[in-house]
Amino acid sequence: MQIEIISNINMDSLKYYLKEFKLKNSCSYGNYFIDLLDKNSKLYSEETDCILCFLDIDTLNENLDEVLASLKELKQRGKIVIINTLCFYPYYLDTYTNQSLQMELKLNQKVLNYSKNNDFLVLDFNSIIKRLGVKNSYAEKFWYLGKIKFTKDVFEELAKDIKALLIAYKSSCKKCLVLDLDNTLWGGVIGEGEIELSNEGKGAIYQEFQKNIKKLKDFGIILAVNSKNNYADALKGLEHNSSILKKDDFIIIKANWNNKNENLLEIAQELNIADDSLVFIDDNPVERDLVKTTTKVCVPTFPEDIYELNSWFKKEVVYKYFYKLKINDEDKQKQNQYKAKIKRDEVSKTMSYEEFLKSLEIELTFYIDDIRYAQRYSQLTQKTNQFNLTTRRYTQQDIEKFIKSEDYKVIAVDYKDKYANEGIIGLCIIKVEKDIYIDTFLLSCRVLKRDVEKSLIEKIMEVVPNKKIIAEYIKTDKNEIAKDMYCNLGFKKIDETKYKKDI
Amino acid sequence: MEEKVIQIASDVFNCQIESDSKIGNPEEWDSLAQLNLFMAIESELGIKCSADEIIENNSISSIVKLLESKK
Repeated sequence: MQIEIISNINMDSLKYYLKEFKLKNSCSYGNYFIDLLDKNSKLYSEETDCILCFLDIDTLNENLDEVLASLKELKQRGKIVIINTLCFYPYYLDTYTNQSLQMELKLNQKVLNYSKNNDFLVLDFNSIIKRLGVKNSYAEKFWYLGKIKFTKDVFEELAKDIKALLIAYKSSCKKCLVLDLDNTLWGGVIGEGEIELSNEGKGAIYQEFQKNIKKLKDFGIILAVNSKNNYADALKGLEHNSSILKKDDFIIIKANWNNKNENLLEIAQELNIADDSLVFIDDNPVERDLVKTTTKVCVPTFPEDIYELNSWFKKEVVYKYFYKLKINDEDKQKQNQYKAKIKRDEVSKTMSYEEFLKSLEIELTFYIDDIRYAQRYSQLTQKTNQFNLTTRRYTQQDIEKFIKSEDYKVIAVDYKDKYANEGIIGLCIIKVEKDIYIDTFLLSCRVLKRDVEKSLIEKIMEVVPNKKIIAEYIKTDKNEIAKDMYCNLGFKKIDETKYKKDI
Repeated sequence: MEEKVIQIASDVFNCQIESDSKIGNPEEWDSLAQLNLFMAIESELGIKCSADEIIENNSISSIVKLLESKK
């Protein structure tokens, strides 16, 4: 499975923790929104199976509605879409105004509703921060070093949760939950007298367990009983005052002294479903083992400590086997009405790419042969790997030589938009002879797809007018992203690596 | 110490790291990997490094030296 990560911060580190998936980060964090809008971006490519969109709410500039609408577009094209719940870095002054908490709740409500209506998978980032605590979650130093906001622990937890989401998504939903009775649906043995089942003390564990099971039934999961009891005793238990589950909640009740694996196969047969669509819960390890080794029924291991029964059930049973619950038709109709209303309320307009670029209010400043920035230029040639057409590395002295030389021009560009001043992020070095020869052409990934490359080429033509331009693209492992640049800018391909633009 | 660092680096980069490995060699060790390597080192060895140290020490040998000096 190929996953593309998009984020407004640097989440590329995830690739070190999700090694079993093909994780790609074709879109750098500065550009994720443009890539979302751009139907030609890697996100929309056929190879991409899954889009993992991680939004850092503290630094989010874009309108959440627009991000969600773009994700919907991807979902409609058959991609699995994962989005996180949003979590503000705690701002302690808020104790009195709780503004960010309110905002967080509002935004999360939106993310969750949207995800529900559009079948996105939700990565509960909030719960990860809760699990680890704020103190162990944020990596301030690495944020300033490389916009890596979170600690290793967070990345590990994220990876774990993403894996679980995808596994649950890929596995099919089970159809029938089969339950043992004694010490499973209630405490004690019904055939021997009193059982523990009430709304207080230990009995409350079982009562809540029954409530949780009832919820599954309400979602359309079939319930059955498979227990070694006299049938009359079994019914007595189900008729107990505190019992939530009643006889009629179960489609089949096998309360007999047969082997449990045989009972299960019969249940599958009577329901006309495969035995691997059954999930069987039993507190007795010997029974579980028998079923596990002789059938394809799913048999989760029962918790050793009964006080953990309900959290275990949610995590190991509901989440694992019934995750992809499809709601029944009546619910669905209600859902549809709900959906239509949401749709009207939603700002679902997606901006066009051009509109977006315009809204950025980009200002470019060009520097020509400006020796003051030689060090920065050298640094750009050393550090830029992706959008670098020739990947030639130069020292400061090399750059100074180019600047002083009559034959060379060094043109750099400084980028600013309404959000940020990125500084000098683009460089090109040209050799001027009969034709112009582009020796170096590079852009920082932060400003890709904002037409900066186009302006830079236009600048070359302005600085040295009326000459043919010869350019080349030298492929490396990292600069695939720049592969088509010259073609996109109207150059003609001469051979495998060379391009030209006539006057 | 060298063994530990090599182990951590090999885990992070998902490739075999040698005692003479450094940034750029192997390919997987780029500037992002450099930061993630130090994240792993800090968390697994419980040693804190300053931002400058993280930027400056980008070979197995210099990292080992740095960590030895902090013990």
